[in-house]
Amino acid sequence: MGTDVLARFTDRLGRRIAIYVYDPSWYSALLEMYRTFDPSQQAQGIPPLHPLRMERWLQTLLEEGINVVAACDGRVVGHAVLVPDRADAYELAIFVHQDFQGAGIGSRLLRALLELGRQRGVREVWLSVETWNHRALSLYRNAGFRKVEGDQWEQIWKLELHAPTG
Amino acid sequence: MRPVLWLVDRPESWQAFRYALELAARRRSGLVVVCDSDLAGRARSEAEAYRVPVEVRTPVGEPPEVLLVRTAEEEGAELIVAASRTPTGKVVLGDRLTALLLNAPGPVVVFKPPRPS
Repeated sequence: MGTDVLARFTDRLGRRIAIYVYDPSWYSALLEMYRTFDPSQQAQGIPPLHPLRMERWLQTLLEEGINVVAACDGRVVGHAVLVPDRADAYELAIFVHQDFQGAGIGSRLLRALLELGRQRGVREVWLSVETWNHRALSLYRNAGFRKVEGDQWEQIWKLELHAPTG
Repeated sequence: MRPVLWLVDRPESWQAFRYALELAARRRSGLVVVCDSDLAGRARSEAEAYRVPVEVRTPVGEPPEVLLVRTAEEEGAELIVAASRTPTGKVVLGDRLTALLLNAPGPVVVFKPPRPS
């Protein structure tokens, strides 16, 4: 398994979690996370329900984006990605497996990804979120994102990253 | 029973337009396109290749969704619209499209691009 560790911590249920920069040695464990992902937790059409579409979607994220994974005992339990758009900004998506939600992993995963993005020159991050997805909204708010657009269904949130000092 | 398409100048909307042309060609029904006047010429010339008679309607002094709902009512056929897809693959509907879903008199076909556009 990959060894590029960004953070190690114990989650709220006492499980040892490590966050890694994604490399291809994580692929099958990451795919397994999405294979067992609760379909009712799908948001805005991702991860796709159809297994083949899901794999194709995941491969696109891995090819085009900056990816980090959260792992527990060799199992991938979370995944976050920044995918570039055409305007020199990056769209964020983040997933935590249902067995590991509510334990503080999402916020650590998000923080690690944003720091990695900052080091790789990402300066503007945005995301789309459904108005009723309160867990996601508070995660983004706590990470410093601010709402820039919103209607009754979807909101766009943004965060500016500053260049690393020194 | 001509399908009614909402065309805007975005790649996924042009893809939806081609889908609608294929549908109309198979059905031999013709197609009604609701769009701004500056898209009418390109829409007509693309439709020629499919040999589908296209009627273009342009909203004047009203939001496009009002004209779309009225046109779909008159035609008694489905409304075809396009959703957009973000770089991470999320499907974004937006206010206007959701208003159409709720107000259309009949079925609505939401065309989703397979890839972000």
